[in-house]
Formats: sequence, structure tokens, C-alpha cells
Amino acid sequence: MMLGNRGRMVQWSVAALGNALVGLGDWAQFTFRTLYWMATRRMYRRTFLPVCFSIGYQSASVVVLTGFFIGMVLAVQSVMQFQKLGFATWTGTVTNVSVIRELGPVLAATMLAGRVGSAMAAELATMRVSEQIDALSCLGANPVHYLVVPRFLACVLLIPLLTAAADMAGIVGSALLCIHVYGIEPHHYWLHSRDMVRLFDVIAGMIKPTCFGAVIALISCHRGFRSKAGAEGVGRAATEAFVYSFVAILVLDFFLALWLNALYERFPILRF
Amino acid sequence: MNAESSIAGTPATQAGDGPLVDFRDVRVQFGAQAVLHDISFSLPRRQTLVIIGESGCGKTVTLKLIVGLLRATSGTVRFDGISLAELPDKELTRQRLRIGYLFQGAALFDSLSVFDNVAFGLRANRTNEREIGDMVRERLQEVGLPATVEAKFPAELSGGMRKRVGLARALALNPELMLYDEPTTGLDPIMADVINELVVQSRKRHPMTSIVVTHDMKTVWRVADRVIMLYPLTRLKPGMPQIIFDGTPAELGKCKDARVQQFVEGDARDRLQSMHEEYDTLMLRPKSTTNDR
Repeated sequence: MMLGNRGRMVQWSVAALGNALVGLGDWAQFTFRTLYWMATRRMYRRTFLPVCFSIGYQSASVVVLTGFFIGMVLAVQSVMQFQKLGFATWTGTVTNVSVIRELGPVLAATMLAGRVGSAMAAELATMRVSEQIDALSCLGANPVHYLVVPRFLACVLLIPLLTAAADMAGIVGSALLCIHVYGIEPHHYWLHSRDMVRLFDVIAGMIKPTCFGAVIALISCHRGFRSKAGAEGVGRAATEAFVYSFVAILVLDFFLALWLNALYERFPILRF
Repeated sequence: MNAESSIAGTPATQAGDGPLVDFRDVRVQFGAQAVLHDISFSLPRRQTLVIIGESGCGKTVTLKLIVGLLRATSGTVRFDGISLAELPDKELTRQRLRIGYLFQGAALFDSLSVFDNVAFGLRANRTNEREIGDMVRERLQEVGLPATVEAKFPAELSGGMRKRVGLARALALNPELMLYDEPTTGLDPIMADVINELVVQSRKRHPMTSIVVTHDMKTVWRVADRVIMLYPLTRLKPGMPQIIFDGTPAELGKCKDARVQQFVEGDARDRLQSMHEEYDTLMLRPKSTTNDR
């Protein structure tokens, strides 16, 4: 009986691994097709601008709000420790570097995966279920070119900008709290913050959201295109878009952090 | 037209000779579920073929095979001598513009106005917006929609209007082959009759070949030159052909096959009997007849 259970578990694991590999292969092919269409044909402007409006303008307020509170929370956690050590004016360095290099990109991307990624997956899944994607094919438009390329480009271009806005809000939130609530002397707060945040931190903080944007768009559009029929299929596509994007953001963040650190160590020219 | 559209490596027929649509031993299987089994038929030009059959017998799959949205598991599906499923993306797109498709739910693009929906296929071909505007208005007028509807969005339209916009969109490209997927489903009898009339009128105005998939026998009597009836594989006895009728509407009325007769007359007695037997087997109860209930 025990062996039977173990056998079933092995069988289930092999099947799950097989499905995961098939899904990954399908996603890779989808990514290739997106890049192919992006490189070989001009994008539809009519679809690009509304997508930019939805991803950029309509997400700005929520991303800025997220960044503002991240900055304040970091300040609350750091300021107590620094005050005990007598380094309260150094709080800004910790919060700003954390926001710019790590928390700003990751949390903004997470927020956008939930807001933009799920919406894209649900929209495309609804189009799949109601045969609108088939209709596009029948009317002389390639669905990947018409639907995915504008979303991909909008995410790659706008998510770094939104992240920059979140970073700024985080810095402002942290400064407001430290200066006006905890009474830290502003001159030294800003001086230390400026000295410790390097240009490379800012560049790294922009490379990450560009990659996150690409991954969010490709995963969300892929889930929408591969949606099963019915309301459950659409809901599932939206959920999977967020969950897979979130996991991908964290995994990618780890590898990008390793790569960027190695880059920084290897090329002294980057140490400015 | 056909000489122009011939593709290197694929045999193209000359205009007027050979069927426009040709199925040869086509099988379609989704995972373990077989939907079509060794289907063969040809459709000459300018003919209107109506495909009937119960839900799940593979009618819509047949349409999607023709336009290359699905691939056959085995066998060949040819449109004007060309197997669309084997074409590269760009050539496939070009060939598809020769086919009009009215989807079951019309499949209008939610984010576009009625005008932009009808103009969508035209914009892929033409750059002249004025010419596109004239064509869109002409097609909308053809399907009996006023100019005021142009600016509306699909969500603001009734089911019948959506179908008519879908028809205008499909006809806008002057297709050689028009595919209708259950054009009257979900409509009231008056609107269903309007759509049937539009199918007939469209064929008169534009010389084209049509395939209509439907459950609606009124549509069959109104538009068909030829009728094919498919039978669901799940209830087909092994070795029996899946096409259980192929003939004219007049022959359909006289067909002796009980399965065809029951479908034409909407007689569900056999089906109810088998459903009750399945239910009794499941519930481990003694068998009962339909009359007991």
C-alpha cells in the first residue's frame, strides 16, 4: 500500500514536471513569436496608445501610493535602530538605497502584476472565449502582432517609469517621516542620502523593472491566449497571470541581483 | 484569381474547375476525445451547403478547419486547392481574407465601434479611409442597419444587431467563401428570419460559396442547396460513417434514416429513453419506460 502511494506520487510528480516543461516550452515559443512580430512589422498605433493609457496613466496613482508607504514603513523600521546608535541622520541612506535598488522595483512590479497583468490576462482570455482572437485571424491581423506586441512594449517602456515614480514617492515618504515626525536634521539627512546612493544603484533600479515589465506582459498575455472556455477559464487565467508573474519577478530579481553585483565588482568603471 | 493565389509547392486549381472546399478522410481529436472521424466531402463553387447535427458533432470544428484556425489530426482540408493549415503566417493571413466568417456570438471587438469593427478587415488591405468609409456604410445598409449605429459599441447592441454587424464585417471583404456559424442561434423567430433572408440576399448580391452550420431547420429549408448531417462520434456505432446524410433539402425531408428523421422533426423520444436508462443504471434502480414518468 505504501509502495502504491509512493508510486502514485512519483507518477504525479513526473506528470506535473512534464506539464510544467510543456508549458514553459509553449511560453518560450510565444515569447519568440512576440519578438519576431515586433521586429518584422510596424506596430498598430491604434492599439498602442490605449494600452499605454491603461498601463501608465491609470496605474500611476496606485504605484505612487505604494512607493510612498514603502518609504515610510522602511523609515519607521530603520529610524529606531539608528537613533539607538546615534546615527539617525543616516536613516535616509538605508531607506533610499533599499527603495531604489530593491523594494521599489519589486513592489511596484508586484503591484503592476496584480493591476495590469491580471487585467491583460482577463481581457485576452475573454477575447479568446468570445472568439474575438479567432475573428482577428480571419480579418487579416495576426493576434500576437495586434494584441501582444503593444502590451509588451507598453509594459517594457512604462513599468520602469512607474517604478521611478514609486521610488521618488518612497524617498519623499521616508524624508517626510524622518524630518517632520522624528525630527532628524534635514541637511545631514539629505547629505548622507546623496552620498550613499550611487548612479549604479539608479541604473540597476531601472534595469530590473524593464525586465519585470517584459516578464509580466509575456506571462499575462500567454495566460490570456491559453485560457480555457467559460467564466472559470477567464478567472483562472487572471489568477495564474498574477501568481506566475509574482514568482517570476522574485526569481528574476534574485538572478538580476547576482548579475548586477558581479558586473559592479568586475568593471571598476561602474563605481561612480 | 486562383492563378494569382497559387502558392509554391501547393497545387492550386483554376477558377471554375475543382471544388472550392475539399475534405479528404479528415480526423480531428482533442486529447482522447475524437470529434471528426474520416470525413470526406467536396463543395463546388457558388453552392450553399448547410451542415446540421446535434451539439458536439463537430460542425463548428469543420468550419474552423476550413479557415485554418484548427488543424486536422489526419487527412487533408483544402480551400481552393490549398491546405491553409500548412501555410506560413503571412500567406495564411492573405488567404484568409478570401473567406468571410460570421461567428456564433458575432465576435465583435468590444473596444472598437461598429464602424471600426466593419472597417477592420478593409484597413488591413486599403489605405484610403474615404473608400473604407463608403464600403462600411454600404455594407451596414445592406444588412439593414442605419447610419446612427456606426458610432455605437458592441455592448450597446442587441443580439440581432450584433449578428448583422458581424455579417457586414464578414461581407466587407467580398469573400469567395462565406462561413456562417449558427447564424440564428439565440435570436427571436422574427430576427432569425431576418438573418436567414440576409444570408439568401447576400448570396444573390455577391456571387459566393457559403457554408452554414445550424440546428435551425427553418434555416435549412430557407437557404440550403445541399445539406450534410453529422452524427456525434460518442453515439456512433463502430464502423458507421459520421456523415449520415448528404443531399438536397427535398431529399432530407424524405430520408428514411430514423436518426435524420428524428433530428428534422425534433423528436427526442429515443434520446430521452436512453437518458432514463443511463439514469436508472446509475441509481441502481429497476428499468422504467418513458411513459412511466
